[in-house]
Amino acid sequence: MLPGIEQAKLQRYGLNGEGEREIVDVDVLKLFEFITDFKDVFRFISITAYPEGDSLFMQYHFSYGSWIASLRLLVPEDKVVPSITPLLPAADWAEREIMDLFDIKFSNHPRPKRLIIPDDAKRGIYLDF
Amino acid sequence: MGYKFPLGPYHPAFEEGEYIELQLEGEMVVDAEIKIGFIHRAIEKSATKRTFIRDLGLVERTCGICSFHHSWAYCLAVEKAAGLEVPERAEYIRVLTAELERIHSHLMYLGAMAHKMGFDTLFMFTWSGREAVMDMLELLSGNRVNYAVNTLGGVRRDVDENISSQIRAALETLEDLALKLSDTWTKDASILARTKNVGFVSREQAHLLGVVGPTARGSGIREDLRKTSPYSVYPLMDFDLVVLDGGDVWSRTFVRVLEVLESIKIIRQVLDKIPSGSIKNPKPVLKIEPNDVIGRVEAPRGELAYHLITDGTDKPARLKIRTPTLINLPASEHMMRGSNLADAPVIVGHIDPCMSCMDR
Repeated sequence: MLPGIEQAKLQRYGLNGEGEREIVDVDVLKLFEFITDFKDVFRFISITAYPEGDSLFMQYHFSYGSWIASLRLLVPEDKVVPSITPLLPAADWAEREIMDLFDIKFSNHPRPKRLIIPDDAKRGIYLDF
Repeated sequence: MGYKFPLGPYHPAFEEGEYIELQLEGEMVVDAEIKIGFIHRAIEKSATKRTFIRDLGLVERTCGICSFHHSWAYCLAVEKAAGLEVPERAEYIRVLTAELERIHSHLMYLGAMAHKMGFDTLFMFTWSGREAVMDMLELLSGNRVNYAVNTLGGVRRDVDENISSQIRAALETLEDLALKLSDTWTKDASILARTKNVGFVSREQAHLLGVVGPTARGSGIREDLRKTSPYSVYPLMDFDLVVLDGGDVWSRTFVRVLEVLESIKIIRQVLDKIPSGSIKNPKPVLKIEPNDVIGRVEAPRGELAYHLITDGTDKPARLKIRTPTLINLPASEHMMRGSNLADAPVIVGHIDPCMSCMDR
């Protein structure tokens, strides 16, 4: 139970607010609903992109006191995911970094420029070796 | 008629390589864009090619200023994933080193801020005082940077009577310095003119930008992992959470002055309470079962998070490092909009950016 958070609202996303961390699978629609519902109370930490088997996954981490919610999203085949930056400005650089390192495209990102690799380098360097 | 003004990548006001493109209208900044990546070393990727114990040396080198916190967050993640217990004496030594490092980092920041404002006397004064804490870190670990105190399941260096009495003596000097700094930062007219009401961010805006550490606490956000998500032996320590409501450069700077005093308080308690016993769990970390953990510590600049995914081998499957600067620096783009050109280096500098941390 998290103080000041409606339990029923959390449970809609499969979360209980217990322990120190919970990981749940979400789709894009649920992710956006979660952010709209909780962006004023939960602090955005970061996004981790990682390959598992043949697919790519992303975990969106949110923090509330000592509790962390990690929302896991399967990246579709075409590697295009809608950007959450218009809703939540904190995600700006996290998404741009993933664009550089994992070659995932975030549609609707306000400034989809290179962040940490040079303009002439190939995108997706973390997938290569 | 607007024009573009480039700041960096090599500029006297910056310690490291960063490039800021400012869009100006006369003297006013209407838009700012920060370009990073000048020191990208792919540490996250390299970490997946080495064993857990060898990664320790790698992650410690992410940053030269908060290197202990990097190794600590990494150790927390690995210890959590492997279910490794840490002896209590080791936890005390970790807190001791962490707080010494926090003092050293904050003093470095306060000196650098004075330098950015053109107040070089204060810069020299602060940095000469900082030598006292650097000496203590050297005494404890043998190094002035990259202390290599942490290891998986404990620490590598012990504290004896000689070291603790020397640290106590140095704390007197440091406390004296911090009180003088607090006096200067509250009274000096030129400091107040350069920092008060500059780079304002409200509490709500700061939350949406996700800022952490002193940058958040200077905007009235009550969040410090040592208090809000206690780890190690911090719950046993008596210290205050420093929060100021100003939301400007001055508040976020003064939070750090007060935190130096709190750190001194913590170190004194550590030296008083430290229990005897072993300093390292002898169990080696070889292969770790598939697991997914996050290790978080409160580094001098704010929350430092290590997300570790293991897959049953002796190497991490993925190690994601979220450094505090990575979330604080984009916020300074927002702070610069609407400010004066002369204030831009102060605004970028006051979040205490660490480019090496950020580029990884």
